[in-house]
Amino acid sequence: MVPQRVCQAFIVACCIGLVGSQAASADQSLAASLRVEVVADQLDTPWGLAFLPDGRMLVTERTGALYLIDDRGQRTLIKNVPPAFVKLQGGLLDVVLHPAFETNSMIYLSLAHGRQKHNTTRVVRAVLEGDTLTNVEVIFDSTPKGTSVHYGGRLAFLPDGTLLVTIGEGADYREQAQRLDVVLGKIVRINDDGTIPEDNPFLSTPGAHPAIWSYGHRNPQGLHVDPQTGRVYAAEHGPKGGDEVNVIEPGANYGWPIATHGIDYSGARISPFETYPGMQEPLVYWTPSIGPGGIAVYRGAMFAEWDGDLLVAVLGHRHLRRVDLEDGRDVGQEILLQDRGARFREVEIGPDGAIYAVVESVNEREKSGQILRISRALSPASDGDSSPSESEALSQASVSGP
Amino acid sequence: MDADRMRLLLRALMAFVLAAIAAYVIATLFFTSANLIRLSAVGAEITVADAVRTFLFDVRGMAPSLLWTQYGSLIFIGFAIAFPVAAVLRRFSMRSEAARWIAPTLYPLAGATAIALILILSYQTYEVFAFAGARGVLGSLAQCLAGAVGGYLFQIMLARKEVRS
Repeated sequence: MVPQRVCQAFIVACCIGLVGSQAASADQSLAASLRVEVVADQLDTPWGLAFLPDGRMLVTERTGALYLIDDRGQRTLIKNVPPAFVKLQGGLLDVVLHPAFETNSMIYLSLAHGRQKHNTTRVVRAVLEGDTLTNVEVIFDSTPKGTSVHYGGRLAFLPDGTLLVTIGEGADYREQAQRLDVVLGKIVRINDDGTIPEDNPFLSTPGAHPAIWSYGHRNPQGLHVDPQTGRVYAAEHGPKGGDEVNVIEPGANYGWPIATHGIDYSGARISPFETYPGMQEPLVYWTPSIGPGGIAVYRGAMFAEWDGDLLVAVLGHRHLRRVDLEDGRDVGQEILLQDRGARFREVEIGPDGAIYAVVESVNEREKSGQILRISRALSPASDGDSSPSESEALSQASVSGP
Repeated sequence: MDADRMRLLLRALMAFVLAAIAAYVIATLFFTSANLIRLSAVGAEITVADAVRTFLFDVRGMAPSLLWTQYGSLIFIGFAIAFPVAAVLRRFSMRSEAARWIAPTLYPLAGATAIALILILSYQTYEVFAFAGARGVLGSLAQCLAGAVGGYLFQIMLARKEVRS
């Protein structure tokens, strides 16, 4: 009896292993057959990308320009873009469309504003009329700081029409990420006109800034709302180690700088604690750091196998990373397009189901930013344009903790 | 070079290494303390054991190495430039009756100046405090004080050796 059960268990285990290995191999062959097209190039440090309903793209350059790019790569410079404070990590940052763009033509921009000793992460809204912005209006400013790094600056609309904005902690002000009276190291939630939603979590907390949605962030440059689940994901740079992807809940504390898996660039500890009671643990963290930029949850028919997986634009290690999410847990990771030699700044899912990546510093060249369209090659062997991606399945244990 | 001069040079070298190590350890103590005080101010509950563990980690993490950008390495490099300059100035000051009073302050001043320059140059390079424990006026002054203590120790060890020799 017992040997029979052992045999049955063995056969079941073999079947599971076979199915699992076939799935993994299918994923890897998919990665190897990606078709990569350069939609636009020679961009100067492109940062944000948003699709218009007609398929054209708005693309920001950190150096201050906003372009409208069509599917042939023709670009139109948008006029009357508010000037940004362009220095180090500062400049023109993200762009998103109002959920009702088709009726109001309204767009939102984030940018660094001010001067070296006194600058903010600013959000403006404007109406896009042809190739010009009109009715430009400042709707939010973070607390001023005196460094030109760690702005955050990603924007995303929630399904209820409110806008989330990531705000970095300005590096030298890292402890301010824990203070509720300061808008540094926070994700804030505002209405589309900049007013404060009545159900924000700290509205009734004495002394707290009413726009704060979550706190304890370092430099969140990735923000995405899963259109299917409404779940909010944010990616933030750690220092030396401790890059994170978090699932953002209203009112939650994400730990920085009290709880972190990273240490300082100097080799000193940021904090004695990697975890701390009452502070959220990341969904995924990377030690050593990879440098995560923008993120997106893949939803679409083109890569049905990746449905619900997280795509992370990786700046430091220069690739696009797929985080295989099962039941909200990271069960494996895959490195894609490392052969491009580019810093991946942002990733978006296009209306056609293709993946669009904003990359910069291609082979360390200046003004070498590109918009890449990543699609599924019809026939990998016969497709000259397909880029044989370096695909590397990584075990969760080697790259992430929890 | 005769044996006495060689002995004196070796003693000076020994004094330099000990002074630089002492300055580095004191600087790290201030560094760790400053960071932990800031964390406590925003709600972190830090025990003595946490503090000791963090200090020991920091001593190891920033220690002098072949990597010249390490804080410990920079202190060694800074002292290696500052102390010979102080020695020359000291020699000049001893020759003049009016300037003799300044001689005992020169090594501590050199140590403090070396660390001040490290902090200023690193800030100019990165445009943020590369050494977070030196943030703010008090944080920077504490680091300079560690440099001054290193310079003072160097002066004492050198003086004792001069007396012995």
